[in-house]
Amino acid sequence: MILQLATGGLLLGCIYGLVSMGLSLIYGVMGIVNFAHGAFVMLAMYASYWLSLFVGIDPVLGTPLVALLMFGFGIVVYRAIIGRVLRGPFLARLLVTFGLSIFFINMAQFLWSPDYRMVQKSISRGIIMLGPVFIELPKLVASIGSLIVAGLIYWFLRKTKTGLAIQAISIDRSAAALMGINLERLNAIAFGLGLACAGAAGALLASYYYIFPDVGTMFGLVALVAVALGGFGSTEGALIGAILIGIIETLGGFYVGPEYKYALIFLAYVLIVIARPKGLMGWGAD
Amino acid sequence: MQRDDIRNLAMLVAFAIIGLLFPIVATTRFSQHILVMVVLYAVLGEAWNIMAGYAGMVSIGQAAFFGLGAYVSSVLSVKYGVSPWLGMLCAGLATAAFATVIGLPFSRLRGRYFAIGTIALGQMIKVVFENWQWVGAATGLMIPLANQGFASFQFHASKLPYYYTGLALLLLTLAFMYIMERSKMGYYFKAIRENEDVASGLGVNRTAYKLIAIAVSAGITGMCGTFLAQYSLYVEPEYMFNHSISVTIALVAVFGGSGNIIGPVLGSAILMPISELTRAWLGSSGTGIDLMIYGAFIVLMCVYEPEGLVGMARRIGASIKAQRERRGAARCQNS
Amino acid sequence: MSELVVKGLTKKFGGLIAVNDVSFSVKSGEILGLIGPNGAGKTTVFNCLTGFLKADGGSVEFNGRSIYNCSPNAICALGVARTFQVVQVLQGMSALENVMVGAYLRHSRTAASRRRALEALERVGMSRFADMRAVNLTLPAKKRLEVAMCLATDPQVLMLDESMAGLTPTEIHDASSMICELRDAGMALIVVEHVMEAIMPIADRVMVLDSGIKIAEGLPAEIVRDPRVVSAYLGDKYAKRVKC
Ligand SMILES: Nc1ncnc2c1ncn2[C@@H]1O[C@H](COP(=O)(O)OP(=O)(O)OP(=O)(O)O)[C@@H](O)[C@H]1O
Ligand SMILES: [Mg+2]
Repeated sequence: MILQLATGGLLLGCIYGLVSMGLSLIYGVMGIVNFAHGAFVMLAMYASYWLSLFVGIDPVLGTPLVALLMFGFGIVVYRAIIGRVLRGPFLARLLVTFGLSIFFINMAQFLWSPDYRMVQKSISRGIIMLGPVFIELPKLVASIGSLIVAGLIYWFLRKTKTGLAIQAISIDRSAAALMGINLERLNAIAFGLGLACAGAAGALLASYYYIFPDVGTMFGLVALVAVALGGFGSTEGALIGAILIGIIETLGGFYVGPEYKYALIFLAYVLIVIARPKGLMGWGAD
Repeated sequence: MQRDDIRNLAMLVAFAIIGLLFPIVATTRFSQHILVMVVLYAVLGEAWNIMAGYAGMVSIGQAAFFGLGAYVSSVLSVKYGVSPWLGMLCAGLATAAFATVIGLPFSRLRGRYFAIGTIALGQMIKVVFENWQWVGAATGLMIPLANQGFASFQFHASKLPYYYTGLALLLLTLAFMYIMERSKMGYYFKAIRENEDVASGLGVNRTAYKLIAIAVSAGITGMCGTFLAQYSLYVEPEYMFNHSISVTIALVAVFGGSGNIIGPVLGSAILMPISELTRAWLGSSGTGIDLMIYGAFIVLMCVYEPEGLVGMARRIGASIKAQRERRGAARCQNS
Repeated sequence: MSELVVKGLTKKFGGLIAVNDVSFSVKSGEILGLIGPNGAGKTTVFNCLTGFLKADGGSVEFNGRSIYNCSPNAICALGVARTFQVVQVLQGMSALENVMVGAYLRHSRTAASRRRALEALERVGMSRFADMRAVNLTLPAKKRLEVAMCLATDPQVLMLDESMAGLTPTEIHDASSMICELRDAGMALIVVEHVMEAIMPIADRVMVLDSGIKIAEGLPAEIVRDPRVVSAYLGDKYAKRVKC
């Protein structure tokens, strides 16, 4: 049983991991806590849903497309809003994405109603047996997809010139600027990439998860907790934090009761952050 | 110094008189409802202001204190027949005590870790109340109807008595903040907000002062919870611990301008009517349009007026002054 | 008459021993110069003495009372104040308000605190800037402001961390004479400084740190001739050449 639960937690953790990675990337590069991350996951899920309904693209296969859409959307949002707030006071930087989140969630509710929707036909269906463990295929596909995207992002950050420049910014922004790195352009790219992560996660989730305006909120909050657990600015930390949360959630949901599972995640956050005020692997400013 | 004090006192009195005059124009139940919401969120915004605007601990979980206050007085009145007024006092003290206990570990968290912690707190406490049978779990509690009047803190015929009660609460809060801002406490709060290390290097006991700020803020917020419970005559986790309460509180304060006394009052006076009216015009709540407008407001505010209405007013004032000086200088040169 | 006595102070960062078994003392009416190459551990000593870092060993006594690993505010309340190497002020508040925060430690009433703060600003020659927001001050002005903030807490021991770095010669001269005035008024000062021309003339004693270890202590004139100090600063080769 515990093996079954742990596997479920691990699968969930992978998706959380992808969402969290985007959040962590954005934070690391521009010091913005993206409270709207969950809302972007939600938008991506709707995008996936409409694509499958009207164009007939399967959510899983449509993942790259949705990720690309979200990347573009991210650049636009950065240029129009985020970039202008970066030099503003702390409160503005903290609250701007909060406003975005409220805006998008309620926009979805207004335009598309609060109804629950579900993608009707998806290519990944059914259950497979792996030794003693039952695994739902859609979840497996989504987790593998998440790991692939996470791997791609990781590769991009470590091996390409742009990626290395982005890393340089998150280590020391003023030094990077002195070295002639174009902060504005890279900030925009990093924000776009962060949203692409949210987008990919949303598309993968759309293949088996209910879609409704508030669906992203929990993913966003969980990612926030994961990133804080890992320590703001640490991409690997975010991934580890996310997997930890996936496991806490499934085990806690089973042993303590499903109604308490999110409360447990937050409890874990509070306990860990109090013990280590900068997260498990955190560094840098507040 | 003294002239200043007299001027400020005059302003407070003028403010109170204006507040007392509003009901003359607000004759419908709906407009009275708006007035009640304006004063309620003005008080809540000020409470947030103490903790976030002055002491720099940004909370996005005020609903935790708000709901707790609502439940304390409601449970006392439903289960033990305690007067809501005494209940309000208990609510304030209980939330302040709760906040102090929570604040002890929380005060170690800085900046965004604190903010996220407050979100977590708000969510956790809601789940607890949703599953706590003794206080009615997800269905909550109904406060039994009583004869209306100040003794029972229930008014059925008109909403104005609620408004006056809220106004009194607001004036008390403003008076407290006025004194606080000019005292050691206010300076220490601001010092902590600006730079904790410098503050403690200058002898500020940051943990103690943070706890004071959290406790006072939570206590006032808890009393507001009682106020809303008596206004609606029921408490329910989804209603009293709603995340949007936390958001609205922060928004009202930031929109008006945090870190100064008048900001949250201005913010509430402008935002609450907008939100109530959009809700009324564009269909009942649930369509999300009101919150959508809220969200847009926050974003626009952060981009264009991060210092809030007060900051905007200051800037305009400064530019007018500069212009006048320039004109004066030009005149001198001409003559 | 007050005295700060430090014995065997040690601070480790992981494997790095930033301060290694350092002992010294300073009395009222005395300026102790603390010098050493970059990364020697000077700032870390300050941080440990003032409670901003928890030391890993040793003892710190102020007027016979242990202040070892106490909280920064408690240490300040006892009369030990410090400035920061990277200047730290309360950016959003006016210069006067900055200093008032310090003054409130001994004067709970606002009027008294304001009076004390104005005195302290006067003392560092900053009265003109009282109403200016700290964030708008120039770097030298911020450094003076920081000193005024410390002075407002009425310290018996004042630690200055490179307060004169980046100042012009005239400004250094003014700062030096202010430091001497404070000493003559009975304060004990520990002054970290890279500018030798500034510290040597005013220090009563100089202590040298290198890689966390105290390598010398004595009168300024002795220190500049000490071969260990020369080699710590300029490398062994140069030291040998000087000897020949
Ligand atoms: N918070 C810290 N974490 C890890 N290492 C630190 C920390 N603070 C200082 N160090 C290290 O401890 C050593 C001593 O640093 P310290 O700042 O005390 O030197 P310093 O003598 O003040 O140098 P400088 O003249 O450059 O100011 C250095 O090697 C530094 O890298
Ligand atoms: Mg140093």
